Amino acid sequence: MGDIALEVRGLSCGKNFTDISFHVRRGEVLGFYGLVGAGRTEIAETLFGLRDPSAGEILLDGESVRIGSPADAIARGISLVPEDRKGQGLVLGMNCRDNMTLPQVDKMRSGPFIAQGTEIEIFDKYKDQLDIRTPGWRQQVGNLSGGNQQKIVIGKWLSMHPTVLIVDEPTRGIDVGSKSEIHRLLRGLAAEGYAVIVISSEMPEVLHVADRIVAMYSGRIMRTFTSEEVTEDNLIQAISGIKAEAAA
Amino acid sequence: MKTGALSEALKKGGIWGFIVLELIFFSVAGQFLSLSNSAFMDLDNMLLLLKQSAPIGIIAMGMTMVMINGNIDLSVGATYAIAAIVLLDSMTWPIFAGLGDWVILMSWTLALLVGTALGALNGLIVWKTGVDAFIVTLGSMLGFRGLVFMFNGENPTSNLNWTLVDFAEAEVLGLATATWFLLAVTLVVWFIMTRTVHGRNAYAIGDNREAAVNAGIRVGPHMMINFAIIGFLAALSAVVFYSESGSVNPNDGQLFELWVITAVVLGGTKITGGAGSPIGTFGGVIAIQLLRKGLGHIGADTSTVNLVIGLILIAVLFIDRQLNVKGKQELRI
Repeated sequence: MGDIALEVRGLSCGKNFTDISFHVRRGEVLGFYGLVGAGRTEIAETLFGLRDPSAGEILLDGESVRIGSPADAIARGISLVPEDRKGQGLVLGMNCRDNMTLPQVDKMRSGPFIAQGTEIEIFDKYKDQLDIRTPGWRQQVGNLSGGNQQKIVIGKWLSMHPTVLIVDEPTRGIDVGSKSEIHRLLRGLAAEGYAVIVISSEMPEVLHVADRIVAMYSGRIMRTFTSEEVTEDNLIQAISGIKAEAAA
Repeated sequence: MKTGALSEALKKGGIWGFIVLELIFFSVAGQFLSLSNSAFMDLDNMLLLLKQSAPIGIIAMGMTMVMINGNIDLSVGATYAIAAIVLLDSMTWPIFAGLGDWVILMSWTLALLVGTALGALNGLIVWKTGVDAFIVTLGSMLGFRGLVFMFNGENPTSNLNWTLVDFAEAEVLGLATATWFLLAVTLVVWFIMTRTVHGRNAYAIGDNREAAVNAGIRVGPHMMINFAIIGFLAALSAVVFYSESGSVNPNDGQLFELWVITAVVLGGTKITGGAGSPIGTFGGVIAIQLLRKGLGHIGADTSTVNLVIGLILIAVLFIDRQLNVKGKQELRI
């Protein structure tokens, strides 16, 4: 496993989450497990520059950074595959190619115009790599199946070559076949050296995909498990805050 | 599948079908009702129609960009009047006295700059305050119109420069100067919206602002650019029109915003943003002008024209809605 790509120290954001510290290495999949409303998505949004933290520090490759906007985050190599695919991930009225190249289209120019050839190359590359089933790049992304839509979003961020890839509920509303495909894909990405953060509310998913699992309850990290020590029982205990209440 | 194909064709080319219908109707009705001897589809009449479409049409191209972007600009009529005043008044300023006919260039530039600046101001306010564009430009519509009246009261501002009139009345290859400006603006806006990064991002922002933000697109600057462009085009429209007429009343340009929006919506641009095209808008502009001219041709008065256009606008949006409903099973909301 590689160096630490992203480290978070004592990160807080109002009532959303408090005192969050963790790190993720290159080549590692870090899972975030917890109930809905435990603050996991809010952490992802803070790392991606959609929220301002009220305290704490974010370090990328050991260097403290301030992330003021998604554009900032993208420039620093952080990508987020959001929870709500249709609401936040895709522009449904646009075609597959335009959706995939959206974050980097401003860098693909020939003269004053968009270099459409480069765009199609990128689309074809990730269409093959991720096995996206679509008749062609002209297809409106709204007409694709959930799994293929999610692959377009993932392809969009892979084409940006990020260091840290955050995926929030990557398989929500996706058929079983595409689910296991996406799981394999996430493992594969870690093997290629990406630092992957997977947020999920499905226990089999985090157990299957993640190397380490951060269990959250009500805006706090309860415990971080390695894949050896984690069991369904102690994971459930951690995310339901049983220990915390017993202590109090 | 046949109904699907039909509704698809209607959605894409509806405005052109409508124009053909109008041409047939007014040609036939004109035979019986018109007082003039010339046919409605007379070439001179059609060329004149194109020229008369220019003031609304040039602004409508800007409105297409702003509306695709998910905003709206109600202040274009007032910006148009301000630019006209700047154009005509600045030609008489003592500092430009020694310039001879070069004053035209100065005045044009000045008017266009003022229009662009006013548009950019709208954009800046929308961007930085986050207040809805409808409200911001409603305010600036009132404000800009107030400036117009402050300048010269109820009196018209006039200044005829014959070189300028000659230029505005010139015809190249049979088309009037104003027509050339309309065609050029349509072409340029089409290129911007379909071939450039700004156009692509404007569509994305209008369709799904959250996804656009998530893709790292800076929403504010794109909105501001579009507002600056529509301000520029409102001024361009004024500059082209008043070069010929040479006199501006403080009420000029009132209700322009509504005509422009009508044309843009008829041309198929979604009022919520994310869809539309300058070519469709061009069709919408022509359709409205045909209707105005055609109803005049068969002897209807102005008030009838407004009534008919109002009805048609609602009918078009109703048909569009029906075509866009995915099926009877859809949720009733």
